Amino acid sequence: MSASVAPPLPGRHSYKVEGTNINFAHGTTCLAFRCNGFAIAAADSRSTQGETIASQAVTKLIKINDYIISTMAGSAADCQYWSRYVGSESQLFELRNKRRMTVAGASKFYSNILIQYKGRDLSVGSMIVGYDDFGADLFYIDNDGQRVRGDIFACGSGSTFALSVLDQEFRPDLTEDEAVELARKSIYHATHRDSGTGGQINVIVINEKGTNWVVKQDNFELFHKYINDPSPYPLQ
Amino acid sequence: MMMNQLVPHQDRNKEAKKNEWEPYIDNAGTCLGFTGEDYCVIAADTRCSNDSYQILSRHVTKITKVTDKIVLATGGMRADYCTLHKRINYQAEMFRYKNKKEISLSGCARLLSNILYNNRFFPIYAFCLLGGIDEIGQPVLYSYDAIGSYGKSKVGAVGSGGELVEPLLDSIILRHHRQASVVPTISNEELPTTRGEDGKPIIPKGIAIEYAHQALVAASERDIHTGDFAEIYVITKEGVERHMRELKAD
Amino acid sequence: MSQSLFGFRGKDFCILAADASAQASIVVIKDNLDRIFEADDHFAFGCVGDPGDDTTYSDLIVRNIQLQKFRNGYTSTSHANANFMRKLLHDGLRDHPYNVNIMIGAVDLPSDMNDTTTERTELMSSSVLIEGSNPSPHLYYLDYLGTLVEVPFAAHGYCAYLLYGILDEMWKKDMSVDEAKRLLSTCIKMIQKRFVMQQPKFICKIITKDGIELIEPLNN
Repeated sequence: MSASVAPPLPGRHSYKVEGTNINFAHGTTCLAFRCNGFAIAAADSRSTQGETIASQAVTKLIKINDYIISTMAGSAADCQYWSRYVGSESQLFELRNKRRMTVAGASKFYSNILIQYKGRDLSVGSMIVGYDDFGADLFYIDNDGQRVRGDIFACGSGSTFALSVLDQEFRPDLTEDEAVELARKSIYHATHRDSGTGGQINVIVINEKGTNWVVKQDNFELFHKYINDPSPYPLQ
Repeated sequence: MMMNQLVPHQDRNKEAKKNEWEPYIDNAGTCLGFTGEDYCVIAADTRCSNDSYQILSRHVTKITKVTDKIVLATGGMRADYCTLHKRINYQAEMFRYKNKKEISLSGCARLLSNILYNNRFFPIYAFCLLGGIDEIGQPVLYSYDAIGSYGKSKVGAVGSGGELVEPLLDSIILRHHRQASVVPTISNEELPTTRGEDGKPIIPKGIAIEYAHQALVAASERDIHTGDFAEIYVITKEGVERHMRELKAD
Repeated sequence: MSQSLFGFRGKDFCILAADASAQASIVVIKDNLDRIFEADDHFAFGCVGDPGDDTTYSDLIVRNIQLQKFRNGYTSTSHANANFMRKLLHDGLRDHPYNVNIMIGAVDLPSDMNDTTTERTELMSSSVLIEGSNPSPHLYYLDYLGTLVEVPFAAHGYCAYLLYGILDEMWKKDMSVDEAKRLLSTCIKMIQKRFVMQQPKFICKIITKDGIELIEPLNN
């Protein structure tokens, strides 16, 4: 349902911190990282409209094609619509050229669209994660037109919390199971500290076999698993 | 520069705001929807208000029947959603003529999303619920924001009372927040209905209509922009039924 | 403004250095970003500025310089390339400004040393004849408004406040490569010691008559 950022309509406001340039991609946590032979994308599922939770079951990992996932932070409509568009173009590319679009290609295509709309209040912060002939690949793109390749990215209001956990244990030689667990844990800690993040935790593994949805779990189940102290905030 | 010295900054802003042309108005009202075993219920009140406390009409419909299996309900700005309903109905009709069959629910949902997103930079001030029976005979409800992001959901509520109604539906229809471990005092035994395999209640169609009505009654108790009449559409494989109920008219 | 970019000229080479971190809101999202673009065999430029604008503009320049070389069969002089970059910035200034600051480092080769010579060039070589017999290094300072100046050394952004003192003090005409690497190291250390933002890694490139190479600063 509804956008994480309210559209520019009367009586609605976004989460921009007044008087600063710090404008986090609103109410969400997405992360993605790349290990040897595979990549991981993970996200929560909460969607907010202003202060209200619009939905607790949003899919923020959008399939561009069988081998490429885009994560969604910012305005839900912008991310959904343009990911859909890149998806259909990648399908056409495949039909025309008899080979799959590379991750670099898809992300460049997406980024070029965002550059065209630069300064017109599109709100997109997305990681393009996928697997192509050159192996697992990962890009971060946003509505400024920035597009950078890397090994670890996180996006959204809870990204700093997720990143701090992720950075501790990340290695390029993680096994798939370890990586999935690390992703789940990182998102969990973001749901714990950031009220814009919550609902379910979704994790997708992308390898030479394509995309594989491995975790879809309510973060409520994970509380006792990850929070060591059973009552960290005793009632007074 | 002269203006800066003569008029203090804040006053200038206020002055500007007063004379600014405003393309939007929120005519308010509440729409809700949910799906059951073999039906989809969509309901809305029929009040239309303006920005202040005035009631413009007590008999305005927020719901349109797109096909025998698809119904669209919209809250927000009346002028915008009237046009939107006409555009959707027109497109559905053209589809019918061109293809000699009805547009599917998922197709209609994507169409609505594209129409909304095509107005991304001057949005249609309309918050939509699109419900009905899909290609394989399952009841489905889609909910939207004003610029076309959408998703399937079991319950949905939009409009001025949407934030009041949605948690109510979560609780009554989906039995959320009622895990014994969370709220031990409320037990599932209080439910008047039979239960499905997952332990959640199966709500018969007749009761669903009452629930929809009651939810709007609840909204009209707390939201000044909701009231007058409840218009309730029930979509099943057999077609669309329309029910009218009274709400408080104060 | 917080991104660092500086460079200086040596005897027969230019050195460019830029910090390697990419930022999104308050987070460093990448620490090995190469901001120094190699547009041609002997022509490189560093580019800092608004995220998005920097890559858009740089890509545009790199592809166009390549295109010109492909079409004409010879490389333009660094003076021509620099003025082309300036024109693109200034043409866009009023309606689609590129918020980028540039530092260009290039070495012009005399015509007889230019290894890109082809049959076609021979026909047209008179138009690109570069006088003298030694490779000549050029460093250009170019800002987002289109101010183009040829300088012996320069810095962009906040790092300029820290570096101009050092460069005024320590830069010498006809420096050797080793001396230049030592100066480079001093500059980077200065930024890392006194600048509030962390810039743990710098990417430095040297442009000589033999091409463009990555270099490491030399500790004293």
